[in-house]
Amino acid sequence: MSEPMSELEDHLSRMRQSWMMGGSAGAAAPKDWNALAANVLVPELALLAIAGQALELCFINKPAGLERRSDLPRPDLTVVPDALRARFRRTIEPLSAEATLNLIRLMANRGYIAHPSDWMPGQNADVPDVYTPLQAWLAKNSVTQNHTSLTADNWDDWYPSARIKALGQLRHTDPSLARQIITERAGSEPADKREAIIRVLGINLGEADIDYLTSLLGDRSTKVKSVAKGFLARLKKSGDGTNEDAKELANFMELSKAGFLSRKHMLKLKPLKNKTQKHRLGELFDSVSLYDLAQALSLTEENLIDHIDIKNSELMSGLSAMIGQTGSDAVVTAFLARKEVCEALKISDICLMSDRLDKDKRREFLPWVLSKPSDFFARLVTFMKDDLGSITFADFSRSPSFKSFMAEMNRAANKEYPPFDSQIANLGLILNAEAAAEILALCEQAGHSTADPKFSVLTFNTQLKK
Amino acid sequence: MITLAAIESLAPDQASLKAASKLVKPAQWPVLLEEPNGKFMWGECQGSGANPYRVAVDKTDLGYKCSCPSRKFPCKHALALMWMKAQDPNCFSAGQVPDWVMEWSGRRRGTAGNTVTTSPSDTGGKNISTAQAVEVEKPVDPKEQARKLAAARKRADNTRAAQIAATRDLDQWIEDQLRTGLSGLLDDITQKCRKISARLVDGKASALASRVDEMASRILALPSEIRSELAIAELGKLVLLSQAFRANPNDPSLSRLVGTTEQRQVVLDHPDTLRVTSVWESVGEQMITQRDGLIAQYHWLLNLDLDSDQRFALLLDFFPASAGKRTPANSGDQFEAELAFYPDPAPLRALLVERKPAAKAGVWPSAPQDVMKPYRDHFNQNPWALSVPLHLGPGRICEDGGGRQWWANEAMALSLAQPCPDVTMGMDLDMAIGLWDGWQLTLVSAQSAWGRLSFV
Repeated sequence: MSEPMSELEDHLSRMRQSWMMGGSAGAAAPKDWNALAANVLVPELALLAIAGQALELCFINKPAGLERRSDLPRPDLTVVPDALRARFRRTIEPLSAEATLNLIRLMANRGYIAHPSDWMPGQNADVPDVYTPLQAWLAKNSVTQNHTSLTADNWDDWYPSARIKALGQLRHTDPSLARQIITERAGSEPADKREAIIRVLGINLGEADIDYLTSLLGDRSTKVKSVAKGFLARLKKSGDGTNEDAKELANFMELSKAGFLSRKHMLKLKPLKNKTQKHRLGELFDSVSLYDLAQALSLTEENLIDHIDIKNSELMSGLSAMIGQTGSDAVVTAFLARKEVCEALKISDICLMSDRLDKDKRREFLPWVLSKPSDFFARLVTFMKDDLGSITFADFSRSPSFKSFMAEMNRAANKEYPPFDSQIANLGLILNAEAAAEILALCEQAGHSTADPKFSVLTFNTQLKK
Repeated sequence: MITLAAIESLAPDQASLKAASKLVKPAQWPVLLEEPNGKFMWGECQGSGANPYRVAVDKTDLGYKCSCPSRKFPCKHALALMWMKAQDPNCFSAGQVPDWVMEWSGRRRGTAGNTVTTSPSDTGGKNISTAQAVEVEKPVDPKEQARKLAAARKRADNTRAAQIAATRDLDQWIEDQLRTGLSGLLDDITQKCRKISARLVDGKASALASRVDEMASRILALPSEIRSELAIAELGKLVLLSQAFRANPNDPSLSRLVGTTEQRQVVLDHPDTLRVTSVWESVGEQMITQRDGLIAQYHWLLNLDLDSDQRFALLLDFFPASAGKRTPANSGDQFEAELAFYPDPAPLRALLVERKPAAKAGVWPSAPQDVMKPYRDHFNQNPWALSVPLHLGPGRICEDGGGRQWWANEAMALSLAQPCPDVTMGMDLDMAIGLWDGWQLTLVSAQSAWGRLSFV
């Protein structure tokens, strides 16, 4: 091509205009093109062919003002190896959002994160901390990278889930500063975000929080009010000034001697007369704080939990929820320290208190939770949360759930049996890799095809080695 | 348990059994595996397409799946697979159930299995023994054979003549568009392309017809401000192709672009066919639904031999949309294979002759210093090419002020045909493979510090 580029562009532009309007582009074409085209039967088609080639080959320019995004933050954990990524994508495809998050937690426990192209957390997803920088990046909040600590002034620069994490960390180290930031900024947040922020006060909850919590009893959100009320109850402040519900609940109960010859008194539920009473009892367990109930019974909280009739499952369930929601940390610990209480609690009762247990405490209680029968293992998944994928085959095979699982496994061989599908998926989340492999082998021996998609989570577990 | 009686009952007709009987030869199945103590068996059978057909059977209910385009259910491949199992259960080796079988299994859960009757009276005239019987070949009549050859030659000559006439019609049509104005063409491009495409079909120029028919969507896919330029480029390529074909209608590469693709066996039998044995990596697969209702399956391979000149290969298959969803090959799979390339001045399209697992993992070769040189070289040989695979070096996906994405390095930028996921914009791409059509880049896959990325 003999023409300088800008002249060529000019020729091509005029040729294009001629053809767009209709007619010959010969007058607009470079002279040497016309010379070439003159030798061809239809010169106009020759000019078209040359122009087309020039347009395609000659102009690959870099436009000005191209912007690049900030680097995707590199988490501390290992990205799932390429060899496992297709299996990961296939495994999560049919899972619910919650089940996917549980699988993500299991992976994090094994030291892996999902490849960002395969899965990224939603904005408000409750994901392991390692994903927080990725959430922030995804929200296009690269400014977050520059801040080392959250303050009231840089509040708006933080992505919401990163703020919660930062507040939580601050509550451990400087609870009053965290409360101060919350006091200044929480009020401007929408209700759902405000509730999550207020819940952070549950970390290192103390007397200094009472004034602010009391002010939240007038919040426009019932959820925020409920959280504040629960926290105040833990601090032995009922806050709302009325104990009528507590008195009503107390009337459902009686303190009577444990046995004919016993000196010990036991808190029992009076026999219920009808369904209406049963329903009302449930409502009261949900709304009354432990402190207020103790007051109504003229007991201390510690005395109350000491005298529970642990054989009454309805009472145990109701009080477990109450203790989990409104009991102080000391009361929760004391309640669960009693061996006979632990033996009497159902797994559903334990799960009502699991939020009150930190990771170490949950780990401590895990063998005991495992000793409880569990139909579909879903509650175990909820309880284990941060410890998913850790139960050994030895522990599982000794648990009461193992025998019932084996029976279900044999019942489900070679036929559709949805309850087994749920069990096997949840087992895939709670067992360690070796235990998962053992279960797969047992299922194969029982006649199951472990290539069936219902075994996807379990199979993926076996391949995710620490 | 699979029995011959069950297969007989399952077959749609005797012709299917006859066709299946020709495939009941383990030698035609490079892959024949089953799940130990499990319900799945599967295989790969080389058909007339570029890729072998994948066939799977669930032994518990004789559910089946085949990737061939046959409209008979079950097809001859599924029948043959079951037949081999019934005749010789030990001809299947033990294997781990592959992803594509598990995906099929997942999709079919809850659907009814096949109802198989084994009553001899219910076979509807189908008979496996009859299907297996070897046909006695009639003696060859030399006069009849000569007559048939002459007829075939005459048909071929007639076809060539029709195709040449069709290309002249196309030239005339292009001339008319220039004379009346390309703005009129662009205003009604879909209909206008469809009309001329129909005339090309009548002229037995079916490949050219398909290209013209799809031209409208290629042009409309671009931003409006550059559609006229692409129209000029596309029409110019058609002129060059038509002229080249008329000058040499028997050239196989030109004949393929105007008429029909030669049969697989013709390529394999030709002494000059380029054959390359190497370790290949599957870098991406595209399924494109065409206006004629066929799905074009583009399977791109990268040659991992650092010294080879043949960097890319394309396995191209067509099948009707009614054949159902196909399980794509896993991007990233590496295997050793012999490929036979369709004759072409710049070979790209190929057939899979033989394939086996790679002895060890390979790595991508380095990208060329001048990343556009392969494109220019290919274009020199094939000035009518629609797109060319590029092997790009380090780069990054960026955005312009209008939100359009570009692959860019220090020196150049290529506009992207499809938006890439946001997260990929936060990654440095060490190398990338894409298809460049002169205007836009379709990213296929890339290597990065985050591992492999697939874009298609």
